[in-house]
Amino acid sequence: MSGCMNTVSQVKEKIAQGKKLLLAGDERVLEQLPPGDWIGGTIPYFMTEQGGMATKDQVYVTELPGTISDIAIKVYDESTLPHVYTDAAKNGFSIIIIPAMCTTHLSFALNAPNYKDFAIHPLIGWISGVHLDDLGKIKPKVFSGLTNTVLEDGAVVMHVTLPPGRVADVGILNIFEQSAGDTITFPQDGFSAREVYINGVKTNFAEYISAQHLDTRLPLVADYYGAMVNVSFQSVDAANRQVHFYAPVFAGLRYKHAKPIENYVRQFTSQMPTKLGKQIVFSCNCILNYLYSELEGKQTGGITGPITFGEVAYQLLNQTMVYLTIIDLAA
Amino acid sequence: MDVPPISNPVWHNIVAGKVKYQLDFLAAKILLGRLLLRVRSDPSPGMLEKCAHDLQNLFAQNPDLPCVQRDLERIFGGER
Repeated sequence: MSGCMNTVSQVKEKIAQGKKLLLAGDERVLEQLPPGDWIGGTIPYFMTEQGGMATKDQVYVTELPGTISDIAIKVYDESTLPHVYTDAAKNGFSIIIIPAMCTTHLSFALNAPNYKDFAIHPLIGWISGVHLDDLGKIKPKVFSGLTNTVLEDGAVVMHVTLPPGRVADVGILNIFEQSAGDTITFPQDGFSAREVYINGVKTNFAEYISAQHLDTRLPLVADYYGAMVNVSFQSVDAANRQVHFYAPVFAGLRYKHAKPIENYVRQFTSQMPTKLGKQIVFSCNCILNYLYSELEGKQTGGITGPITFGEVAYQLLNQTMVYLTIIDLAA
Repeated sequence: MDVPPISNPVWHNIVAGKVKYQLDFLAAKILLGRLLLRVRSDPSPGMLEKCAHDLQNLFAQNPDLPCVQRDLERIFGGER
């Protein structure tokens, strides 16, 4: 892993040295940083070598390896973000950060799979957030170090070019699997649902969750040709008979409630692909995994990075660790 | 292994759901999750052709990835 916690002065030094940086930290520390080759997003939660931690005083720094050929930092809004795949380097990868719950976040979540050249180039990233005590008081933000721009709505992307002989790949580690239970389908795409189909029978989803005593800390899981993709529950509004999610559900996909997890850390470390250690350039994990599995103070197999309000591996994911590897084809 | 051209019927058979492979390439899995859905809701020849092209293009743009090479072997290795 090439990331670690830094003080503000350490980050300033790295920026002055011309390092290419991906930063995560509280707004008050990120806004102290000078212009440079960096992008960042707000969050005060991290997985570190010492374990999960919350701090508003330090910055999680991912330093891109010196072997990269070039970078281009771009700021997008809802109308320009559909170009994110076509703007990517032919051989390289792109890192995206979007503030939680802004228009661009919601649009990306719903529409990314329809963007031109979707998934053609590696796209990884995260949704920025705030301390849970600040929810509703402070808005999540993203920063472009190139122009010292701060955005509450938009996306900042670093498009990275790799030299010949090196390639990038995106992976996910999702410990959740589909249970053997009912198949749930949705009549339309969206972040909320009322009427759904349970094994083909139209049913109010809020009432179904209550009647079945579903544990809403466990996500819905869809099978994308063998890749398990989660949608996390945000809330069940019994009064309005409506269920809200942290990522959109999509019409036609077949979802199942996840199997229960006994011990997140044990399951996580047992599923961590071996031999990846030094190849992993960047990773992040979900705030819901951090909270529900009580990861504060616990280590997750040496994998570090920001704890996020959503993860991006080509599209928006929930309750999933995502990671980027750079592979030396000559090795 | 080179990426077979779009004229190879296997690309169409995959997006039509006629054959299934266990793949390593995450981008292909996520894309296929979508393409199978599209073909299921619109099984017209035009949609099948477009989805097969999207899948073949994904592999053609990432031929050097080790996971892509493993998947190509799995899918087309038996044709040699």
